[in-house]
Amino acid sequence: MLAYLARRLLQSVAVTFVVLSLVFVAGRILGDPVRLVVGIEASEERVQRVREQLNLNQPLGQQYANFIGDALSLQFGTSFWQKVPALPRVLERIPATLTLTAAALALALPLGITLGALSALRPWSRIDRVTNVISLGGVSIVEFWLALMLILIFPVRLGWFKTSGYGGIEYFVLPALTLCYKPLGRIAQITRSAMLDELAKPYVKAARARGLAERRVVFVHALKNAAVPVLTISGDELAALLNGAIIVETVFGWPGIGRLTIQALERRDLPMVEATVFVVAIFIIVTNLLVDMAYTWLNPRIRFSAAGDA
Amino acid sequence: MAPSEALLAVRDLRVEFRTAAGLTRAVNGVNFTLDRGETLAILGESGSGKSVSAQAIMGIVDSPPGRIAGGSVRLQGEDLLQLDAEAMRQVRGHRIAMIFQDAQAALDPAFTVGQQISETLRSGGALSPQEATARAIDLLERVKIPEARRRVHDYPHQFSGGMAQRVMIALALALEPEVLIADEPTTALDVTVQAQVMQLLSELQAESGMGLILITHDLGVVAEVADRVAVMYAGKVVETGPIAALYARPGHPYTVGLMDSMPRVDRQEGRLLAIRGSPPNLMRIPAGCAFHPRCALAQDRCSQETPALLPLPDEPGRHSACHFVAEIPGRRRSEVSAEVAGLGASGEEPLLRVEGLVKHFPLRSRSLLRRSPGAVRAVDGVDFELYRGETLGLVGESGCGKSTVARTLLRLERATAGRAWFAGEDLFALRGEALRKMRQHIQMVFQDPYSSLNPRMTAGAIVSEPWEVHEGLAPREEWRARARDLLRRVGLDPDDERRYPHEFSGGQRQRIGIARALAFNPQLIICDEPVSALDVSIQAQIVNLLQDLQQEFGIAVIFIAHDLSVVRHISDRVAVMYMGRIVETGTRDQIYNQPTHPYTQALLSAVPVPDPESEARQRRIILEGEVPGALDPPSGCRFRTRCWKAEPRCAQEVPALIERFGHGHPSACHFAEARATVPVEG
Repeated sequence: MLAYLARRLLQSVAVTFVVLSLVFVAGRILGDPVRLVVGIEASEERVQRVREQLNLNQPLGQQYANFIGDALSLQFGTSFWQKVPALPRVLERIPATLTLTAAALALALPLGITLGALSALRPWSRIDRVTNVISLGGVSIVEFWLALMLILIFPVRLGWFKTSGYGGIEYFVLPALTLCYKPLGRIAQITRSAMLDELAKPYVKAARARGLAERRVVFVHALKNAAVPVLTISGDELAALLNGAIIVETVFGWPGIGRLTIQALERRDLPMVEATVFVVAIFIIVTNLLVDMAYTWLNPRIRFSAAGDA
Repeated sequence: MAPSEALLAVRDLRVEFRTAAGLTRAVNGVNFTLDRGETLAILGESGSGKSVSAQAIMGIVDSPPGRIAGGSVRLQGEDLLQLDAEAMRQVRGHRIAMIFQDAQAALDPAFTVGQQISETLRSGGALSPQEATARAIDLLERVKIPEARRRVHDYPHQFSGGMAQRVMIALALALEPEVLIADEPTTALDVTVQAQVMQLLSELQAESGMGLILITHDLGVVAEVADRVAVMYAGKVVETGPIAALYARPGHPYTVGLMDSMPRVDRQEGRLLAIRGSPPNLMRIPAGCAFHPRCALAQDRCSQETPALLPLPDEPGRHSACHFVAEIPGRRRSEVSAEVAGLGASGEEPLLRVEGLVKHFPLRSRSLLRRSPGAVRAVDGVDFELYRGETLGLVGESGCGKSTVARTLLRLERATAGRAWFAGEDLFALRGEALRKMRQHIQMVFQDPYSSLNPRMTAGAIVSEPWEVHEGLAPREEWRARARDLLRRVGLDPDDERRYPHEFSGGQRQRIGIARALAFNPQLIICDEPVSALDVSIQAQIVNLLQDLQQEFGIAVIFIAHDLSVVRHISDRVAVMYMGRIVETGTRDQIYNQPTHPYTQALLSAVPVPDPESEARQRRIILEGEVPGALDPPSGCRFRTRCWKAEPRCAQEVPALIERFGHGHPSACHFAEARATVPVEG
């Protein structure tokens, strides 16, 4: 068990390294970073000066070594745009994004699982059809459009909540709602199909044949087994939430990492982009690690095969 | 309870399933009774409604689409069908318990077996968690699970099939039910393990005095344990009665047919007497007697008037639902032993010679840094020869390596070591075009007729595909005529060429698979468990077909099976495998009448014989334990860990497969001696 986690941690380190390398390559093949900073009209002399300042005149291998070394000591350099170290700027945006994604997931998970489980218990019933429409909407509606519709309906028509900004609950409701809809749909869909699969399995019939209460059969036995695929996509959804956050934060003017990423990209702020990608990658890797740990609890077969070859 | 009242009485039980395709009448008026301490076998093929009847008694038919359409189920006089859901829940597990075919699948993989037993115990009454765990350990000990105290914390996947079924039995016994329903409890198990589980069930029943309903398709198992039998066909009980009388003088044409369809380990026969046709589609059950389209005795009356289940005159306790019951005696085929098929003439070159065949599957280490942790030794030194036109039966329990031998010979797997010559050519050295040419001479018939046919191709296209792949086998303009001819030869309608696999039954699909193999004009067909997925009455048709085609075309056959009765029926010579090695080979008569290796003897004696009066039961050898893991096989003789003859020498010295008893009958045992385990008839 411990060996399994240790191995997963090692893998995570490797993945982080790969991500860093990709960031480095991307930053250099998308055009000359110096030109991006100083502009196309700058004199050749100025370009040279800045190139030296930024250590971009060194050979590529040297640059790469420096970059990895700096990244490992959490140095991403000074933001071209804000003229302050990039990483602290990124880190101070984390709480805003985390609040938003946590709220979205906290809404989507229980609601999605409940809707999915209920519709699996009564396939083709009214509740199943309602769930189907809701989840189909969730996976097909573009967040950008949903955000605008919500703004149109609530603040503009009804005068509820705020259109944009950061502060109390009135700023928070609409972005959280927008962000939770897609994972809600996916989780409801997956829960429904996973529960349908599990309920058709022999152990469910056998549990009933032992005289266990139906509540226990469905919500202890079937649900624990159905939780495995639900957990898998919840991990994916958490990663996707960060994607969604880029749009939602931009539309609602929410000061999180997503908005910062867009701003940094618009301003070709290479250190800032590198820092945001790094932080998001770490966030996703940690999420995956947590999901894997939860797996071993849900599915003893993973636990034992992992222990077996350790 | 009145003395005349049965423990459980099922009257006119009817169950329907309403689906988009139509109304399926799975159970169509089932009647039987069960007394305290009695074992009633419900015998029937798949789709006969036996499992659905059991689920209806338990109140666990999936609804929708299922619905109990009528009848009564009285447990000590109380009609269970009238109970509300909560009252019925309290009957389940507490008064009637059930065990299932696939015990691994019937246990929740996410909880330990101890948790599942405790949960069941606690649903029965107030019990502290500690008390429940202690009781769970008691129960596991009662079903003879070694080291119960430790294993109570294990998960289902850590148990072997036989052990999982014991856990399932412990779960069923937890609340001390009055009735236990066992739905094909040993069908998924190897034959030696099956004997252990059946013995355990009998012992537990004798201890507790509960009534046992044993649902099975296996006439042998029935004969071993049942007091009475109810034979089901198309959702109805067609015959009931005490086991001995019913087996001696079957009182329904279907029962007669079943008995004759079944190959027996204690007899050898020329042809199996198959029941023609296949069981009816439950959406369109034939009018009158449902069996009449397949019955030799059928007359006009049978298609109009449904026969009632009536007492047989002069036969106490027996009932049969046949209009012409009086004409049945004497209809059973006379049991004459057939001529033994000729062996390859001596001096002839073998078609296939295999020497020292080894196939190891290395385990992949999950870590890049660590070395491979070992290898599964699936096949570990196998030698045999096969002559033209001969059938070699390769038998052994699951995991013994018999299918791996087949896959290696087909070059689907690369042999780790060893050599094989096919028609004089080095089989493992062939490359490219030569290999492709060779492949047309060695064909395979697979176990699963459902997944081995492309669902998007018509039967005609499937059968002619070989000609497309191997140019020169048949000119294109002849394909259609030849495909039709092949379909006819395997017993299908030539017009079936336009139909798709899903339109055929399992037996018919297996016929298509055979036709496809024949299309290559092969010299050797390897059949890997070709009938184990089929119903008994269909099995016989396919076995007969293989036998006929083999005689007609002179093809050599390697027939791989775990079912010793089928192998006895079809093989000229038999090789018995255990843990990747052949432990004994010989002619069919040598192996079945004079087995010399302890494993062969145990294997043969474990096969249930469909004859309640057989003396075989008294001489049964029941092996201890299950097959050890192939990752780390026992030293010396691999069978020694389960062998009653084992001595220190067996652990040190690998017994060679050499002639110890006359010509052509090598045995790999230091202490081999001939011993008839099965009474020889015919």
